[in-house]
Amino acid sequence: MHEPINEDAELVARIRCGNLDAFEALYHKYKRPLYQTALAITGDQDAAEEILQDCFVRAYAALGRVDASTSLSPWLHRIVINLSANWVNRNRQWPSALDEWIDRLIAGPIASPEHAVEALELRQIVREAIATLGFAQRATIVLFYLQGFSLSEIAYIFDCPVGTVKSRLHYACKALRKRLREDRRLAGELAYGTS
Amino acid sequence: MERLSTKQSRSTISAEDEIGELIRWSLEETVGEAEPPADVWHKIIARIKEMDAPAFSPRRRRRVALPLASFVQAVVISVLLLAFGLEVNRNMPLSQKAYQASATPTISKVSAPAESDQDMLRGYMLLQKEKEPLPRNHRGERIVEIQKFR
Repeated sequence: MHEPINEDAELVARIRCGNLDAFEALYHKYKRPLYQTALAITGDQDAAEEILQDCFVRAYAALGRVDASTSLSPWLHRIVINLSANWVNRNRQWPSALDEWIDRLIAGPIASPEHAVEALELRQIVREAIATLGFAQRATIVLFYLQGFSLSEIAYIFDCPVGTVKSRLHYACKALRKRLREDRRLAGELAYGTS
Repeated sequence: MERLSTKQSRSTISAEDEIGELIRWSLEETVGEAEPPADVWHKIIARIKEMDAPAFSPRRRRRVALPLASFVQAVVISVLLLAFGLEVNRNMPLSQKAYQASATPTISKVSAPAESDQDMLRGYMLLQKEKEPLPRNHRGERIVEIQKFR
């Protein structure tokens, strides 16, 4: 994601000359973080796949106007966030289909079955807590903690002031902390701060 | 862990508390290994090939670069300028003096031609009457009518 900027500029220049191989290279460079962002926000594999498709189709149509002197990652994420927002508005729910592929993901080698169950439960509790957040806070959490974007990059992606991003992160963390503290499944096992 | 430390260094707010770590761990464990299906690229390229060529395509550049295009543009611009000029002349704003003169209400007298035409008609009718043979009575005497003209 945070690769040398010249690489993106060169790819964009080649794409503008009609080189589809360069566009394929751009796709392979960014497909994973974009897909993971869409998946973390929507929780739906089909939706994430559709968003990824739409993102690159839109990006191709708009590549003539993009400023290629900077990294394309925030710009592409901006498209993904907008498409995810549309999807969330259409499907105002947190789909349970996520559970299936979480199970598949954790099916790998783990130290002990006991540990696996604990990890799965904790992960599920946190995921459910994140799912209770509104779209803007959830997407901000995903961009900040999963993709490692800076506050100014997230501000660009949302087209809002940096202060708004800080505020969203603060209130999202506060809400999550409160929710996890109240969760009965974690009673007596974890203490998340005192604030 | 290396990835984690890179993210930490990019953070500008205090996110290294327990809840931040927990969120990061949860998200990475949940979607960190997820990959899009292999056929997504083929679907994207199929959709792109169906689309109209975007603005940066060389084909469209060539079309714009035809010499005929500049000629047509010049003709259209000339016509527009001419039309604009004529319209400006027609609607040229009046000077203050001319505007006052045109804006002052005036009483115009209807010109005489209508009356003179009427007079000519009357004269013509009198002439005709004189030429007509006067009516006579049974003894052959002329009946003279006295006409009064106002």
